[in-house]
Amino acid sequence: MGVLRALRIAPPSPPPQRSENPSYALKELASDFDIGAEYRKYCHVLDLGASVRENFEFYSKFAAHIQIEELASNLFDATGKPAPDPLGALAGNTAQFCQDKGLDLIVCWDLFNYCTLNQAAELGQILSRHSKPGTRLFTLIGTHSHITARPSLFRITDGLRLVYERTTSEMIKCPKWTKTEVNRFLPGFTRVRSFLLRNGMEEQLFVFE
Amino acid sequence: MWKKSDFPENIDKNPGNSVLPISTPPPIDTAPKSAAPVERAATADKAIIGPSISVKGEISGAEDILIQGTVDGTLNLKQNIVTVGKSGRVSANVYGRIIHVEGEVTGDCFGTEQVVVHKSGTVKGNITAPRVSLEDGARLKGTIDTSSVPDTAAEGKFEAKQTSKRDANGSTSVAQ
Repeated sequence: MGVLRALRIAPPSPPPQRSENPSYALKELASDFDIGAEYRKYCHVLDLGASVRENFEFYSKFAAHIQIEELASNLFDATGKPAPDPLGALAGNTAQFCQDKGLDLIVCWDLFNYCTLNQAAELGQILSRHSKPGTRLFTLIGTHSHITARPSLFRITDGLRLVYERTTSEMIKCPKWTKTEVNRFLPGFTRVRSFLLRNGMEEQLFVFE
Repeated sequence: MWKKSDFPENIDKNPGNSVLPISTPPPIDTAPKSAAPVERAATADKAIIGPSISVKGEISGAEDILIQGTVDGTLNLKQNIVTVGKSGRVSANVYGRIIHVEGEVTGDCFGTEQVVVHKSGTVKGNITAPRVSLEDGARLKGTIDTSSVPDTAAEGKFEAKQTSKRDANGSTSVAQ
């Protein structure tokens, strides 16, 4: 009994620093945006993650307007504590970026897992405001009890697989947002696909109606 | 009186195009391979703002430039190559034909041909150029625009196609 209890309360071991996983959502997106070079220059992509060469190359195949927001670095201050106003600049930057055209693709990566309830709702409001019918949104929602303490860095490979690069081995509790909660965060969006991966992340694809 | 036959055969008439005699082996470079000579050769024909130089205002001209110092204002060299070196810090909008960022740029970059953000480079601002390349490790916070002026008619077509794809997906494969 004692052994069982000890096993149950043992802290989860951190995932490997770098792992490559299949991404069904990316394959969907690649298929959705296979619309020919003619339309490339009208397509607007918002990536809330860090600037990564491979991801930029992936977006460049179908979009000529790409905004990289590096929101992960805004969520925490220099000491590692949650930053007071991480979304302050996002609304203005995005409005300036897409003007009245609206976004075509929003890539949130795992950022919802690191937002408080209020931040997630605010982020969803900003994204909805700059969406239009047909806007795709891709996010990764944690389903395990713990996640790494900082957002991971994601790299899209040529074969449309996703490389996860952990930036820390420290683990924190995962909010484990339910689908209903995520739906509430993203007003106007409808989930069209979700893929649960072995690493505990659920890829979710939304379309703005 | 000078005659054509007096002209020594081994002297090339074009000093910039001298040719070694065939019997002479090519010079062997015994110096250690370092970046310094290459960098010196590469920078020989461009203006350089050294690491200890700080400029406030507009820089314009018609030759390539390498910035290793600090520039605060505007860089306007639309026909030339602008390189922000590793120690360069630029708080300005940068206009160039080709822009290389190895240091830090806070401002917008407008390249008429290309903008390259190298692995040591950071751009906090927007990049507009027909070709943009980010090296692995390059940091960018802002937008990238590789298009020309949009055509409204074609844009309408794009949205229609997106919507039709969405309908097809939504009706057959909703997975909650």
